Formats: sequence, structure tokens, C-alpha cells
Amino acid sequence: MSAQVPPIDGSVEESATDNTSAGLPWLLPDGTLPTGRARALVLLVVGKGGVGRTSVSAAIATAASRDGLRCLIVGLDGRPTLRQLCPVGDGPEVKMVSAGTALEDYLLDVGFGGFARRLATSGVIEVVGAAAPGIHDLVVLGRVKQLANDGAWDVIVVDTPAAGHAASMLTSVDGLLDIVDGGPIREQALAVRDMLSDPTRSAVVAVTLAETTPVNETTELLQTCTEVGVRIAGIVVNAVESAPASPIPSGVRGAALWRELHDEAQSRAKAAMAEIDRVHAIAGDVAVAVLARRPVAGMDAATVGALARDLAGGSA
Amino acid sequence: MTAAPFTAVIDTAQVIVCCGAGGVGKTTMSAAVATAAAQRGRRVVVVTVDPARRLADALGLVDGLGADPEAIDLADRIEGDGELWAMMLDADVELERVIRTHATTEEQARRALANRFTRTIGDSLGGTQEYMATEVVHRLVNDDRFDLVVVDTPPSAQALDVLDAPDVLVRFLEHPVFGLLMGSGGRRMRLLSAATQPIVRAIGRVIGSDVLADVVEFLREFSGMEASFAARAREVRAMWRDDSTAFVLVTAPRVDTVDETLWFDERLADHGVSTAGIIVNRMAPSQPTGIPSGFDNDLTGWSEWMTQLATAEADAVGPLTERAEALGAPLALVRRLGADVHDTTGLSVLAEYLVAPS
Repeated sequence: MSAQVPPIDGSVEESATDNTSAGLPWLLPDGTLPTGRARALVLLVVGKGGVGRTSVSAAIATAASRDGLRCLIVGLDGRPTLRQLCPVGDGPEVKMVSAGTALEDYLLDVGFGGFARRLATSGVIEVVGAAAPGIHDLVVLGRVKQLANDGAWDVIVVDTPAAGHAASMLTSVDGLLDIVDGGPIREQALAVRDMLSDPTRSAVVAVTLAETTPVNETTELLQTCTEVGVRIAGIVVNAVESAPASPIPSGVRGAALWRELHDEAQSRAKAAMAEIDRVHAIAGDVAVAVLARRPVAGMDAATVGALARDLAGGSA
Repeated sequence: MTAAPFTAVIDTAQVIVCCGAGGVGKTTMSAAVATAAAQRGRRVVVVTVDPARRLADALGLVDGLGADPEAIDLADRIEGDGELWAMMLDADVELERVIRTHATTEEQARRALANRFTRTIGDSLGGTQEYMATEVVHRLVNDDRFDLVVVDTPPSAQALDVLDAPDVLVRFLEHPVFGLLMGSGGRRMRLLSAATQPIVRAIGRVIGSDVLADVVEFLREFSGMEASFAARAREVRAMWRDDSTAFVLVTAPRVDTVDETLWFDERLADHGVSTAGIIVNRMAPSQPTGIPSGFDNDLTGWSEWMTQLATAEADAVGPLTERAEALGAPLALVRRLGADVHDTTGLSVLAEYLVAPS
């Protein structure tokens, strides 16, 4: 199947066709909406820096809310921008989880009340984090699991940190199980692994650009997901630019400069299509959504709303 | 204040540290800065701490980069004695070098390297990778083969760790909790008495006593090396703050990235370091004014889209122009090209934008 770049005016016939034929990321593996369940479906949105992971997370959460789902979006890197990207009112609820305080909260939760406070004040948290690699990731995932078991939401969208880290986040659980042979951390790691390996409780959505390096990194990330046994709910190719089909007519004012820009646009669009083909090749049965780039230098709730419509495709 | 051209930084600095948010093309731009300097006759080594293979990609190296500098062929695009070298930080290799440097005996080095905690510390102790990067830069600065070291750093939040890195391991080794674990006598471990401390028991219950024992073992192997580490930390701290070290911020023409760049500039100032230059990568080219009457709907829609993008990006970059003027530092606007940079020819094109008078 050959990739089609959405036309520049923002209409999305091709990507919409892709989506509806292959399933939306916030659906369960059997194609139904995750409603009326005791636990939320957790979607971990992963991708390297600069691919628009936060915008796509917000768009997924917005689209899932429009589908009637009770949706929570969790930000992990402490950037406040997430709130500005979600519609005010009936949109998804937004929550920030800090890796730094999650470990302290966890130690309080498991009954180290007095100790945890002393641990925190003496800087031992840092030492515990260093001694047990991945413990920060584990407690963050543990916090997400706790939110998922709360019953208050149908879907929880997690805007994870950049790609290298996302992979280590997924492998950290198994890594900890290797080195910790007992105690509360091991129990927590086992519970988080149960969540990650259950396709009805969690899945990964990979965000990439139609460029070589991000697609290579997405390939590696998907391999990690497969190794760890996490379901992949979708791949979003973000900010794809297209080029005009018509050639620059001869004799127009500034034709030489227009032609240079036109050639560059053609060459970029061609490269982008080749990368989208590569994404389809690695995706297998996984749904691939292609989002058109907007002519903006910053995201807001309105633009994210438009991305959400693109993602929902024909069903919106 | 008139900004100095980028050539002033490229021609005089001994170390150029490229910092920026993820995804702005920092690794490619580090290679372009190094290429520009080599073309102007300097002997340059560019080192990436990025675990991804982007530097190798940008240099067109199929087999990737090694932990030792490798000469890059710039063909005839070079002036005088200019040379370009590149290497990738391998934290494991570097940690071994560091331990061998600081250990007092071969036996101590062997035991420290065999420790399980030593082998995972690169992943677990924040700042370890950056510490290793500072060690590499320190070594390359003192290597007669090179007169400029260009460093590509991890994304901006962690890049500050490069500045703090020399102190990280020292701080870890001197942590008060480890004082407890080690007993007040220092060298001889007193695990039995330490284990009676409630706080140590609590840590042991959370992470498991095996893991804790590894850490204690690690501290025992490293005891005696602290003074050597601390001395090196002082040297490296001075190197980062020396006038011959230039911090260059690489950014993208997007509002959030520009905000992050300004934030990073402030943090650098907090560390007593002044931004030496700003590079905005992948700017949409500005359009000829007015849409020609001969354009059909397709071309008109495209050119309007391009104009909107260029206008939005120019607005987003505004605050950086102001900041660069206030600093008296050069601001380079590098136009995005028709294709990703995959070879030294592409790097030469980027290098031309860097040194072109703005």
C-alpha cells in the first residue's frame, strides 16, 4: 500500500480512510469502546523530543472524550503546556505526575510514613533511586496503575518522556524484577507488569515524524514493546507536509525563487511518503494515522481539536 | 549593540557546547558547527553524548562512531590545516577509563569494575553520563591533535547536568547516608552496626538487602578515590566556566521551544555562564511577496500556507532576536533545506548559513 500525504488544506480523506479501516487507538483490541469497566484503559503515548508527542496526546484525549469516554490525560515531564492544549469544559481531565515526588508518595503509601519523611529530608530518595535503577519509572507507572484502578475514568492517556526514556520506562519493570527479590518494590513491579502485559488494560501509541531518524527510533521502540509484551494501539505520523501537484507556470513574477521552493517542497514530500511507507511496513496490522502539518509555530486547544478530528476520521 | 558574527565564536573558542531541546536538530547542528570550524582551518573534534546515532547519520557514517576520535573526510572543502574528527561517548568505556585513572592500585580498579552497582550506575545515577562527557571533553581539550572540541549535549533539562556533573559523583560518594552505611571510621565497612540504623533498615526493606549490599560494596571499592575525583571536579568546573568555552543554544522556530531556550539561557546565567550564540534551525524560507496571478488554486493554497508558516515562525523567533541583541551574541537563522542532512555535503550547506553575514 502506497502512502498518501494529506492535502495541504487540512482535509484528511486519506488518513481518515487509514484510521477507520484499522481502528482507533482508544478502542479495546476487540474494537469496542472501553466503557463500563472496573479499570481504565491506559494509553502510553511515546515518541522522541520534537515529534509533537504532547500535542498528539492531547488530541487523542480530546478525541476519546468526544467519543463519550471519561478521559484523563497525565503529563509526566512537568510541562504546564498540557492544560492549554485541552478544551476547557467537557474535555479530558488533566493531571500532572512528577517522577520526583512519586517515589516519596509511594514510600508514604507503603507505610514508611515517618521514615519516608526522614528519607526525603536527608536526600535518601536520591540514593534509593540510584541504587535501584528504574525505581522512579516504576513508581510513576505504579501511580498510573492506581489511577486506572480508581474507576473514575474509561481511558487514561499518558504523555511519557522522550523516546529513549520511554523504552527504559517499559524495560525498567523487568530490570527491577531481576535485581529485587522481595519486598514492596517487587510486588509493585509485578502489579505494573500485569497491567502492561494485559492488552485490555494498557497499550502504547507511538508518535513519529515522516523523517528517517524518528522512524528508525520508532522501529526500535516498537521492538522494545514487543519484547516487553506491551500491545501497540497505533502509530501516529505527525506534521506531514505535502507539496502542490501543479508545476510553477513559466513567466510568473519571481518564478525562479518559486521554483526553488517548489522543488524543495516536492523533495520533502517525496521523502515523507517514503518514510510513511516504511512506517506501514513496520506497523503490520497496527493502525497508522497520518496528521497534516499546520502552518503554525505553536499549538493551542483549537489546533489540537482539529488534530483530534483528523484522528477520529470518518467516525467524528 | 551589534552582534558579533558566528565566525568569532567558531574561530576563537576551545570548547563549543551545543545545547537545546530534543528534536531541534542539535546533533546535526553540532556537526555543522564543527564542519564550519574545520573549513576555516581549525583542527576540530565533535563528540556526541546522544545515545542515538544521529551524529553518525549526519556525518554519513554507515558503521556508526566509536569511543575514540575518527577522522572525517571533508574532501577539498577545507582551508589550510583544518581537520574534522568525530566520536561518540560510550559511558561504559569511559567509566572504565575514569576508574583506572583514579584508582590507586590495579587491584582496586579491578574490584571497582567488577561491582554490580558500578555496571548499572550509568543508567541509575542521574548525571553519570554527563560526568563521563565532561571527562571526555577534559581529555580532548588536553589532546594536542585538536584545537577545538565541539560537544553535542543531551536535551536541555539534562544538559545542565553537564555543568553540575563534576560534582555529582563526589556528592554521591560523600552522601551522609553512606557515612552511616560505612560507619564513622570511613574505610572499613561496618555493615552490622549500620544495619541497626532504622533508616538503613528502611532502605533495605524497600530496595532489598542484596541491592543495598551492592551499594555498600561499591562505596568500599571507591573509598580512597574521592580526593582524586574531587580534584578533577575542580579542574572541569573551571574548564566549563573559562572564557574559551562557548555555550551555543540550538532551537527551533516554535513558541514552546523558544520559551525553553530562554529558560535555559537563564539557567546558564545562574551557573555563571553566558550564552555565546543562538542558532535557530529549520526556519521556513520567506516567500516572494504577492501570489503570482498565474497560480492555480493548488499553488495559491500552498503559497498561502507557506507564508502563514513563515510569518508564524518569524513571530516565534522575535524574543530570541531581542535576547541575542542584549547579550551581544550572534543569532544564526538556518533555513530548512529540501532534505534531511545525511552527509558532509549537507553539513557544508548548513555551515555556510552559520558563517554567512546576517
